[in-house]
Amino acid sequence: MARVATPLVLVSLILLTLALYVPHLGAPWVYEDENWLRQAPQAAQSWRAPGRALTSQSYHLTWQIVGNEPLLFRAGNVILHLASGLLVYGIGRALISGPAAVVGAGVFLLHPLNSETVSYVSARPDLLSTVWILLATWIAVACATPWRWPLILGAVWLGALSKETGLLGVPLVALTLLIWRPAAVRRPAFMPAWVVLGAILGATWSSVRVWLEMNPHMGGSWYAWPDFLRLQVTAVWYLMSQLLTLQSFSIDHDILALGPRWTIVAVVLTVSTAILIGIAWRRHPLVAWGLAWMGLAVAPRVLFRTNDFLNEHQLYLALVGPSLLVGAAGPWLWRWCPLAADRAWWRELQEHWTSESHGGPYRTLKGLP
Amino acid sequence: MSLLRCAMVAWAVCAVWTTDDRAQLWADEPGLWADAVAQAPAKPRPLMNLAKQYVIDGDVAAADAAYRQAMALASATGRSQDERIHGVGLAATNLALLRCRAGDRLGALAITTAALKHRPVSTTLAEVHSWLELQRLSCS
Repeated sequence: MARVATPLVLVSLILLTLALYVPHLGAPWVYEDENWLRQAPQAAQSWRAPGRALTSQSYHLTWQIVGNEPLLFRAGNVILHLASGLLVYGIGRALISGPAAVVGAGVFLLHPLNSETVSYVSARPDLLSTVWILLATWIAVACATPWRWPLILGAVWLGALSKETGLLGVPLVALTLLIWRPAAVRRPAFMPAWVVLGAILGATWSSVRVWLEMNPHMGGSWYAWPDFLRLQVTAVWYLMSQLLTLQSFSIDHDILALGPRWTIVAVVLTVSTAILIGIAWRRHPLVAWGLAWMGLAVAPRVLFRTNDFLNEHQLYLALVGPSLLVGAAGPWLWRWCPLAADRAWWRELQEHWTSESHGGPYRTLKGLP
Repeated sequence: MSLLRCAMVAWAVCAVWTTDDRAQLWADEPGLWADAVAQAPAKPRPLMNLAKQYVIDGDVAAADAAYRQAMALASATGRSQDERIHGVGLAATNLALLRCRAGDRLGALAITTAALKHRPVSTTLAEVHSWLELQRLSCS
């Protein structure tokens, strides 16, 4: 039954995603889209690494086909989003279970927090780099071929050529293997070699160095480190809260207006998450992996002091972890029926009080929460 | 069906419904910025981008009012230094260019002169002010 149901549900999710985005493919350009469009005709000359060469090429190729018409540019975003959703399913299936993976992919494909990334042509770098990182992760956990290491490296390289944050593929793949496939990284030289490789890749990306030395007159932040950290962490948790609350989505959030209450919540959640990752690492690998994935994916936004706070499309990669967590929690909650559990517990409690409370021995109540 | 299951189904339906809403909003830039202004009424940038939409639609009076409000918001306490520089600078620049387009060079100069008193000064504002000073009779 599950063999038939899973592909059917997946196809339904893809069709629903298409139904949501396809009617708006031809809408006019939005906000910074025109900046990319202006660069599109020259992109053929900028095919060099390191940089965002792959993203530039994708714009250039689309521009060669349709010129200034937005339809195919947006269609490209929708196709990349579907590819991301399928890869989330693939990773989820390799790590947890089919039904949880389907729900996780559904959350990722249909959640409004991802709508900015899909609808905004300027968010292509985030989409493209996420697809490559997810491909690298999927190869790491689902493919047993001896060719997987060059393939993983190739996917990470292409992710970094889509956007600098594609370099996150190095720690994210390492995290996934450490938690889910420890046997694959058991060789003593593996982790140091992987760390050195990541450092070399990071050092060759000139824009990473530029970001580290960014000053307020060159796109950097005017805030001192502690204030920037406090505000950016608040931004991360404020946007993440929308995953469950489903409200206050916007192209431009006002983090400065959130106030000290949100800062306290953000600090408490950050500390709790760090502790939870440590506790869950061995017993509940999915919890540790999902939270650590989210943390690693937003880390550059906290480390590099840019003049702006987090936007919704910059959370696209980070949402993979929470989507699969929700995906796993969904079927579990669905099966868990609190009313039935309450009744069993109540029956047992009544039985306890009527038959054993008068001098009878104490016993553990099976249904007690 | 338990209450929890109903809540889960309702959450999923709400999520898809909201995604549909957001996708529709992204197809309508003036609506997108109006929504951003409604959600962040103290932030100058969404208002400036809404003002730009008014200019595109030819509603100069609404654009004028929005740019002025954006300038006031950018100078308010609690806003970032970046917003003070670019919010005041770019809103004043755009406001001056609107005046200029209407043939009121002196009015445009008055706006940029007043905005230049804010420190630090936006480079764009300083450049537009110099350009306005160089114009003799009109803004052509």
